[in-house]
Amino acid sequence: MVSRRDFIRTVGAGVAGLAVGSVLGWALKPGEVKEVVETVTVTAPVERRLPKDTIKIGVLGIRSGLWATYGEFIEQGARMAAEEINARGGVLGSRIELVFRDEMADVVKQARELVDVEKVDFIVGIDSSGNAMRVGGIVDELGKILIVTHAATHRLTEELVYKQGKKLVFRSSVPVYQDGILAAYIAKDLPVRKWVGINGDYEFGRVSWDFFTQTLKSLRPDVEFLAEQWPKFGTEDFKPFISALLATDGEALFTSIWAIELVTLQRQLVEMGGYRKFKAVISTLGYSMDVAYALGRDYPGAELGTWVSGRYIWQYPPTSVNKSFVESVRTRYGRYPAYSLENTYSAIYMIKAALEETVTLDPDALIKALEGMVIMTPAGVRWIRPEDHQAVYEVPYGRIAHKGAEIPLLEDLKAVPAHVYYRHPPFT
Amino acid sequence: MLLRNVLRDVNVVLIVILAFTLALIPLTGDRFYIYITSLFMVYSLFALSYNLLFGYAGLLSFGHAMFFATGAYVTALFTLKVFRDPLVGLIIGVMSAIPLALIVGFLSLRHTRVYFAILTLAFGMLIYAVLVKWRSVTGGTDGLVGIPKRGVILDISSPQAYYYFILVFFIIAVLSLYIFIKSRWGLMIRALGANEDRLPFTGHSVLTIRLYTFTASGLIAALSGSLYSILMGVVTPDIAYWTFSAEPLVMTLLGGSTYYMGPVLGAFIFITLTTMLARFAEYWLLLLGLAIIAVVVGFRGGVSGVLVLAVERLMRSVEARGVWRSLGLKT
Amino acid sequence: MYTIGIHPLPKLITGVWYVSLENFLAQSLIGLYKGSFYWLLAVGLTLIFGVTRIINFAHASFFVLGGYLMFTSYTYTGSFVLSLVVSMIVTGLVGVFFEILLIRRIYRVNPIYQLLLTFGIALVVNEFQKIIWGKFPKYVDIPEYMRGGIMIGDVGISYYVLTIIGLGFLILILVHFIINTSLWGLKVRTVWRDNVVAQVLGINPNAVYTSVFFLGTALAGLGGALMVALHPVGPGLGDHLIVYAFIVVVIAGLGNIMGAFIVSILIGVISSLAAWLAPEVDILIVYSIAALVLLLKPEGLFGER
Repeated sequence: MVSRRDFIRTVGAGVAGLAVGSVLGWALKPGEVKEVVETVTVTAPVERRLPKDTIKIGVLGIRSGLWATYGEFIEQGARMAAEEINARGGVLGSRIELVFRDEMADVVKQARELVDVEKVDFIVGIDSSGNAMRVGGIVDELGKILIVTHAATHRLTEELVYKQGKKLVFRSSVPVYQDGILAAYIAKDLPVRKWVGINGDYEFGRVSWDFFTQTLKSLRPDVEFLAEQWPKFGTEDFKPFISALLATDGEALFTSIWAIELVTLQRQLVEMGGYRKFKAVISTLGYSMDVAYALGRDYPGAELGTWVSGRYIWQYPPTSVNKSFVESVRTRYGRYPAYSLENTYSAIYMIKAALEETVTLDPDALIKALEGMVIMTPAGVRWIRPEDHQAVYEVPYGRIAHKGAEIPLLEDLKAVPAHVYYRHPPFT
Repeated sequence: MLLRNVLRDVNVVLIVILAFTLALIPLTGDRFYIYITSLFMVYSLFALSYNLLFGYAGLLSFGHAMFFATGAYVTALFTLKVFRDPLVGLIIGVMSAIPLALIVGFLSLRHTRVYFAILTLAFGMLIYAVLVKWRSVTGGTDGLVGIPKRGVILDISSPQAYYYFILVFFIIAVLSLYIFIKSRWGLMIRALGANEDRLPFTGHSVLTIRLYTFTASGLIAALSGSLYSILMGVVTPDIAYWTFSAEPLVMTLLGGSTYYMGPVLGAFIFITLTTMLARFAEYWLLLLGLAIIAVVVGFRGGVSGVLVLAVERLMRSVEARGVWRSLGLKT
Repeated sequence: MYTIGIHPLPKLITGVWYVSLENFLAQSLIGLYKGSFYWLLAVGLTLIFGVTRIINFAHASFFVLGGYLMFTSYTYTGSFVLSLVVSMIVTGLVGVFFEILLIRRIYRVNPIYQLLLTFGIALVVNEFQKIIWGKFPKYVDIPEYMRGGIMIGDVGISYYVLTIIGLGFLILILVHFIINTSLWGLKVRTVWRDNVVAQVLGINPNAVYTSVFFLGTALAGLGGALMVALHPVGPGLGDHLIVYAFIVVVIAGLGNIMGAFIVSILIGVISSLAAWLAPEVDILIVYSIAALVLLLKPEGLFGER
């Protein structure tokens, strides 16, 4: 009997850099491969019906303020998934209905309203780590499964799920391991020794930098971290921070700054000569689509590369599942898919798979179905780790390259198997 | 004599009616209403504490959230790290307001009202910065999670249980504050608000009275913050940001700062509006801004002022003054 | 790009970094640039307060409005300078609109209500900006002829940044000049000193108030218009900036123009140097200075009470 771990290792090794090539709807169960051509629905036997004809899913995202783009991405992902599923007959015949709310308008009230008033069966989304922790904290009271699709704090899964046993919380997107730990693996191979960092002065920025420096130091003891800058959340102007970094002997720059702030940071870096001084730049969320489109052909490239990533790179993996997904998004929204679009899309499909397996809305049964689930999604094969309910899948880093399209593409994709760079229980 | 006066007091009647209504809410069994009403009580206390400063003492503060946040965080830290009980944590959280009020108050209250307003903004943001920076203690921007409702002494984990927990403190606080305002101290505070320049002639120091007011106000605000942290189970630094300080201000203005229960009415309106307008969250700030403008330009007394005016007009027109007196009530 | 190579004097080693004259100069220039923005934000506030005794909570919203207007006019006209002027004037007019419609009614009211009214106006202006321009941030590019800059050591300082520093000084001189030498300035100063006497002398205070409001708000609009080429304007920016405006004005002392300039520059330079030498505490330093000044000298460093 092949142990799950070995199986995942094999799958992981295979997926990394190779095309898996499967049709939408492959659901891999451990130990056996079930070949399903189309998701259940149309050919489902009549006895398998869910207790409700409409499955309501609450969707939370940032819909106001400077980060409203991200709430938009989450909405797009949810909509696409719901429409696709409903067009093919729904989940065992039941329709999916979405309810959208702004997580910035008192997220706890919104979550409670979704569950108590709108009577949703699941909640997906949440961009902000703080909000994810808040909703995650009351999830036992709400009694519904929450799948986070963007918020990156490791404390969500490590603390709430693993340590405090709040089993209703899941996450479909890669957490801050991507920003801190994997970045170190990329950094170790670059011929530079002296690093500087500029990160937002809030938990995400701090943890990214902590993970990066700790991991890199253990992988390459000869590196030095010369300076760190901590612009406040929502900083409009990075100039003093950039010039402070330029005043050092730093050879390479690490940043976890994201969204519109990253656009500003990059432009100011160029303006102030950052790309002449720093030979390499690692921008952990640099390939987020809002940034890629905003910078477009002006996306700066460092001598040894501007290494960027996200929570999903649309070029990877080169499977037909992913390719058709990207095409659908381009047709529907006119742009390449943003990562939280994919993460939310996959979360909805995760829900569908769990519902189809258990044929019930009972949260405990659904939790068991989700734990250990292996599911094919555009971002690749996702395994939902049972200990902390974190989806394990690979997202590579890549080098910005301009190939004449409206947004830069990535080359030299480097994907390290997730089990190598993810943190593992007991998370000490 | 005092009891007779108390019983005839309209405000006390209002409080009693409110208390009864609130006590009945959990019987509906609707979890969302229970939650919203719990929030209403917390905000009412916050707004009432604010009005003590604003409506009675004439001090405009943009940093009131510092008390709310301090109460919330101290309660959270205490129950998570020192002694796991919500009741004890609450008491400690409330007490923490005293040193904060004395320090900040001593430094800020010596100035004119305008400088005081801006100073409170600066101090409030200083507290916010500390909460964000001191990650090892406060958890930074992610905050503290898992604030317990089940403790050594008290177990209030069910929604009904912690609802009544909040209700008890709500009633105690509302009544105590009212008695405080009706007392000799309250008289001096109102004198301060009415005519600050003349106050020293009575032999009392402006600074001392302001300090007492500030501390009392801080205590109630910290109480509301502590209740909030237990209610939510999670605290994050945004409850210290200055825009949160503006909320009790808005509630007070909307409800009316001249009548004692005005802020409570304001909290009710505020919560109802924000909950109903959640779908239109994008535009509600616009309505808020317009409402504030309307209040300042026209209806200084807020909604309660309008109500009282309407009631008075009604009484005058129907010659019902006799009815009022025969019921034995005075306003 | 031209390179200014200042031969570094003996480098001091502080902790991990080298403190060199080049870096100091670069960081200070950046500080001057930031200070110029604080100044553009604060000058209007100070001017308005000095004359009308109103603290305009909506001031930062007008600053942001200038940025939005700049975005729109630059996108349509393609002329940078023209757009700057247009943004400035339109913002000023919007300020006048509010002054005539609302603020005029509350000149003699309790200052608390004045503050509240301007707070309400701030909310309204912020929301209208969101309605008109949407919730996604906007920015413009620096025009072609302004690109490039100088290098100080490894730090590139663009011409645009230097221009802003220059404009800051220019505005100081202009405002000073106007207030102190022109006839209008004389009227302003008279009303500033004593409202009643001014009326006795035949000056119409309302006209003065309105024109001061125009100038103050227009200057804020100019600041915002200049800023939008460097970083985007979006919802929430006003909330963020108003705190800085208040801190500058309060440390300087409400109503002192020169003081506001000096303090703006000082805060810009200090927080810039702090970001470099003591990165953790830069924001705490600013708040602490504000608190300290107010405690020791409540009227502000250059205040007039």
